[in-house]
Amino acid sequence: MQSLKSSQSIDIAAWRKPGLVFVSLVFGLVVCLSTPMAKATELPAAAKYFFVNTYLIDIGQGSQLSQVMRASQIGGFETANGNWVSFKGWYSTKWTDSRLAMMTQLTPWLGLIWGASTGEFGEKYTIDPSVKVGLVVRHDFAKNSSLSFKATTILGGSLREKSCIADYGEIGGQQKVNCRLAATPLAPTDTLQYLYNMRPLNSYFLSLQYSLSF
Amino acid sequence: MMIMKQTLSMTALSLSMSMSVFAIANAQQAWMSPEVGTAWSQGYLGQGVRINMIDDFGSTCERAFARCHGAWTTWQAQLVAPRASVVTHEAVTGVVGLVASTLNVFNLSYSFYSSLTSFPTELALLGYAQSGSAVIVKSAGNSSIPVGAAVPSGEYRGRVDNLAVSLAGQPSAILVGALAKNGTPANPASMASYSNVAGTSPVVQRNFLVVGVESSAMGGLAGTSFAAPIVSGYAAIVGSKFTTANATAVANQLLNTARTDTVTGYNAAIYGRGEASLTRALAPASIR
Repeated sequence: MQSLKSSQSIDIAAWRKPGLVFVSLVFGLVVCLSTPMAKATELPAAAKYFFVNTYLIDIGQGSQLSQVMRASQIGGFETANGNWVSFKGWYSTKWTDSRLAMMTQLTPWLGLIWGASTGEFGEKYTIDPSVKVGLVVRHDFAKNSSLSFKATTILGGSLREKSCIADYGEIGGQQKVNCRLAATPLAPTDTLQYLYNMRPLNSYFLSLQYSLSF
Repeated sequence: MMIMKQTLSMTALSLSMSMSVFAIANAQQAWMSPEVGTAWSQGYLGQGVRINMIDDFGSTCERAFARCHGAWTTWQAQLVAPRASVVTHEAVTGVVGLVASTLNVFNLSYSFYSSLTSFPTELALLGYAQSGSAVIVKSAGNSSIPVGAAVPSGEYRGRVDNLAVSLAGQPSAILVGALAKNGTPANPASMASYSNVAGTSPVVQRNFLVVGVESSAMGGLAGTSFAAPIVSGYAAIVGSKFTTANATAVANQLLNTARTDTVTGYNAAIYGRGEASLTRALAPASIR
């Protein structure tokens, strides 16, 4: 029981530091994919097959949802008293959403795509971590021509913007608002419908590719 | 006629040039404060608010560029708050009632030199301002004098704008003077040479705002007659944002958020509360 509690607290701490999670993930993968290959003969056959046939296909920082929040950092507004409120602090992050994707070749014509992203968060938004899974199927017509079909989906990774509490004084009191639109002519309650609540733009991805070499 | 319209200061600009000033509907006009442009870009400009224009629309009306005084002021208010319901009323037709369940704004671009007691229209308007049941926006006058002082010369020499004096201090009344242009902190504006000023009375100062009347961008139209509709439009925009706010709250919001850093040498006896700021009137006092 004690160890379970301990384990939970580690998970929570890790969640709050997506950068740490990502670096650990990359480091672990490098260790897993290099060390066992050197000692491949010591591994069970399935594990050996997995490590030998797994390839890194994507690694990077930033996503379309990250860019949405980067754009939201620009600007601000004056309060009724003339004080400047900048959006920068609300929509900044210490760690940009980072992703890693691998492909494990199951057969000569079938591959499994899998990966994850760390997510990111700022004071007024969260991009959830995500898991990516998919398949790639390839058919060779000849030595120099092939057709491949790829389908992937991303689980999680949603962007959710948080609201602010604005104090309009005598005319409107305290109200929950979209932070970015608090000073616009929109009614405070109407601003809430413009809070970002988006799934990753590439949640579902299908591609069909014909390749001819000459 | 007991009601005197504000003197229109006209230049020799042609009619066609003047018409082009207002010809482009649903677009920000050159004479508008840049702050209005920000509001325009968001949509939602005055919907659900009724602006009543009490003015001169009759066949024998005072005309500028072939249009009645009331036609110009009405067009101006409509352009500032294009989604407001703008309704015209001939100045001497009697009491104009309130419409329930909506914010009522009354624009009075005229001076009134008689006693109010015999005039039901003005008595009703004063009552609305006293009870806070409508935003009453009135032009300050074009005699270059403090509100409440006697007119120094001309047809109404020695007489006082009794409507302005009566509205001063009322909860939902706003008296509007004219700046020579829209002011900014970097390029502050001075009072227009013709505009009445707030004067030394704290009661008047409390209800006194100024806005830019950019005559050069309005085909030469000038006068506090054209300052009041801008504030009426602002009131409609504020009212369309704060849909449950009453008239007093809307008037106070415009008065309390006026800027003193966009006018030259701010002095309450001249500028009252300062230059109306739509941007600040729409903004929260604080946010977290």
